[in-house]
Amino acid sequence: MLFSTVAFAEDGPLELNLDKPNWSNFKSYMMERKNSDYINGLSYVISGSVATVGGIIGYETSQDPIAKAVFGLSQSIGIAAIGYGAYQWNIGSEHNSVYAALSRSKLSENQRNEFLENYFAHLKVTKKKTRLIQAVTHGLVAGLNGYYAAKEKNKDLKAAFGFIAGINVLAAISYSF
Amino acid sequence: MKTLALFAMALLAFSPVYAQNVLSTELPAKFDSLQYSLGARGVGQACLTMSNLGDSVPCQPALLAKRTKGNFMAQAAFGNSYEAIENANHLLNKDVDATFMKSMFEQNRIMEMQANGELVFLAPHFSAQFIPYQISYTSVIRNKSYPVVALHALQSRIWAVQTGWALNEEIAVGAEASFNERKFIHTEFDAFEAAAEDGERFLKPRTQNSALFEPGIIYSPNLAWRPKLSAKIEGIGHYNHHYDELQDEPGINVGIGATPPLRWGRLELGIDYRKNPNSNYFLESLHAGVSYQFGHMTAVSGLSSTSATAGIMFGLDSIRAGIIYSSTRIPFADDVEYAQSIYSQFGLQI
Repeated sequence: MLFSTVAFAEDGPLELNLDKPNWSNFKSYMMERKNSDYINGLSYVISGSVATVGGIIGYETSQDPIAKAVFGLSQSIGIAAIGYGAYQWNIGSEHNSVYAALSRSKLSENQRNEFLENYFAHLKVTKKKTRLIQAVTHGLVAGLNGYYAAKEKNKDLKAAFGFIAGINVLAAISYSF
Repeated sequence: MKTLALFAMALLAFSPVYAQNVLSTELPAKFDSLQYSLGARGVGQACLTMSNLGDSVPCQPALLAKRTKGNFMAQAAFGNSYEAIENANHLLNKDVDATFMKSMFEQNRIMEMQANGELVFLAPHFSAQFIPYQISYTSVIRNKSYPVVALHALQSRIWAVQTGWALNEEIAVGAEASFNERKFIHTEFDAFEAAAEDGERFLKPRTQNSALFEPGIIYSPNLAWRPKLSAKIEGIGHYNHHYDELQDEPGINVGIGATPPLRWGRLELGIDYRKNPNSNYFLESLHAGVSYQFGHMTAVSGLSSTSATAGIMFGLDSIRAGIIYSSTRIPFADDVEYAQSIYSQFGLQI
């Protein structure tokens, strides 16, 4: 399957396989993606609205100060979710501009295929470089924090530096695949 | 808010038949589990098949095989009675005198509290968790004419790493390694014993360090409802001290779950078997949970023989928060008490 979800995955946005792109598959992916962006975007708009209204009611009726803080925060996050949902719904995928431009063009199918091949080849190289940069960055952060963890005398600080070093090692490894 | 509390109590009313004559000093369920996240609590600890929660490391490390993105979270959670935190800190970290012991008989009948701060890192195939401070406290005063205090206080510091890998599209395996430092009091005393010269001996904290290895496996056939069968062996490892009060024998936890296909949102259902250290009844070791993710919100609810929970969690970009209402059943001979709790969590995500 050209455009598929990743192995053992069952949620998250549709993944785009960059290996053998062509106009026909790209078009069906974008149609499916547009539908999922609509559902996802509208879900955020609805959940944001519910959280905002629920947050106002919860804030007014709650006695517990921490619960009040959660309900106060839920209103702000709710409004932000409405904005995020509206963006997803109306603007959506990063490939939308390419899809719109190709759809409106008078290029032949072969020309579209050639364009997509070059576009996704570039995207693949960019993603690979990005992962390499992320792996190196996390590796450097791990080294620095590992150095401070080894040097630090305070037990709590030592543990915190050690933890940050450890997770950055894991991050560097995970970006290396 | 009241509706959620009523819902939680209504769920509890339909829970299985309870064991009779349970000792008053039975260990609170939360002492037995290292899963303290708001999400795990919200689904009643029925989290072995759940991937919606996402507010901490997964209960089942094999679920890391399906992660596609990484993030780093710092969060704090707090539950319930604020005065109880002073009690817990005093008991576990300071000297206790006769005046303090006497004051315990003058407090609320039931006091419950839990607080923790944690750093969590989640990535494809890996996760790490550092909980520098975690405290849990429950005290119950029984028998008004001749008061008896049942007290459980626990302070922990935890380091954990997890890894999870898919063997194929349907089976994934994983493992968790953790190092835990615990300081606890788990005792019961009456007014006469408290007034005795050596009354403080009841409140002497004990310590335990452990290094644990906990492997897990999950099988999820590619069917319409995406059913899941999950298992995890908990408690394998080394303990520097064994105490009768803490059930630290290795045990297998098993979970079944499903994700019914929905056009809007994502629903997860789960039932976990986790041996109840206070009971031999099979039903009392079952935990049922449900989570429904819609947009930026996840509604959760859970039910077990000792508690019912309901709540909501939400997060967008870098901010996460949540609130859970729970009703906990505290049996004592033929009498039953209910502790109502509110747990809140705030987190920042990078």
